[in-house]
Amino acid sequence: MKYKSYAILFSSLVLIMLSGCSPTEPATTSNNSLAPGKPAPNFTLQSNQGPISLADFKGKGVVLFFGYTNCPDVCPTGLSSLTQALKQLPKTTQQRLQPIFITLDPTVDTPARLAEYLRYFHSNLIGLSSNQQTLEQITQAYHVVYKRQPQPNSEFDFIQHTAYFYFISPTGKLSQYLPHQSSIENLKQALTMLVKTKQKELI
Amino acid sequence: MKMLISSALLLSSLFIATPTLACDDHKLEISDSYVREMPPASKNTAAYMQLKNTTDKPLKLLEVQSDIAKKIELHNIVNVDGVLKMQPQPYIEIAANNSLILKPGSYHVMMMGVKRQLKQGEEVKMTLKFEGGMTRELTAPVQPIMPKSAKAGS
Ligand SMILES: [Cu+2]
Repeated sequence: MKYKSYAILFSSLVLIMLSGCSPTEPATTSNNSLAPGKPAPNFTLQSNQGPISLADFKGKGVVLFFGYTNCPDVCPTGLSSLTQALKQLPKTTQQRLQPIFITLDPTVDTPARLAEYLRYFHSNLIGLSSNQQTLEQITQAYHVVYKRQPQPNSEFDFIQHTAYFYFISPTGKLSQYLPHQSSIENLKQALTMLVKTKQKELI
Repeated sequence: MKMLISSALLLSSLFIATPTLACDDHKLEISDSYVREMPPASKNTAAYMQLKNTTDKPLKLLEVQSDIAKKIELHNIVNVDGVLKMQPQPYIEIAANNSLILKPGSYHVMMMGVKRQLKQGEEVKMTLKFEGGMTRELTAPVQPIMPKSAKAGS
């Protein structure tokens, strides 16, 4: 029964995404390796505490977001909603979740700068950076589309980007993705679902 | 004596200025204005507000000035095949007898190269310039990013 309602909820989410009223889903290419139920691509990147891999968080639900610290509107809005959703969950649920932010602007966003920026939102948020080439591979694997939007004064360059939360189950599978403007309620549901997945698998 | 004259002059100029302001008030109402609090390490922020045009003619916001930022532009966020793109706008039009809300993910006043990290409790002064020469002074509080859904408690 629980599983059925989960399936209905999830397929309706996918339908909403495909209906075109919200941004198109991240899987825009013919490469279908990124799909709910499939293993989320692993990565190893630099945090201000040293290298971190997705595989390090087996047993925890991971929520992944790509962006950059100079992002004036989209990233702060998404991060703010996510951290509010996290803070509203019971402590025990929060302990089973790991939020991760990966930069799209590695020349500016050093691991130290990311840590300083993310502390403002949530103390558990991990910020990851690397060289351009490594980040290119990971963004491709996650179907993140982004492009520098040069301004007349290069000091004010912006980066256009897709903005989705990727929810990765404690067994490392992509559970679902949601757009950055999702309500706190929807984010809370998605996060709770991740933790429930683990309980189901343990039984 | 000199000071008295100059203050009298200043006072009279205030009286002259007041009726114009009152007149503008009938054309445009600004509410819920705020500037987004800035996370450390960030140089950019945005101002958001509700603009209500009470006339039967469209009103165009052409420019916002403030000495808090190196550069201020009017922007909109558009979704091009799932990629979110900030587009500079030559103006923001408020339709006749209508309201327009500047909010995250939509129209906003983009503040680039902000001179200090703005925190909640501070205020930002700005001047809004409209087509036809109308200007409005605005003092907006700095507030944390709080999505609408959180305010509603839903
Ligand atoms: Cu902008």
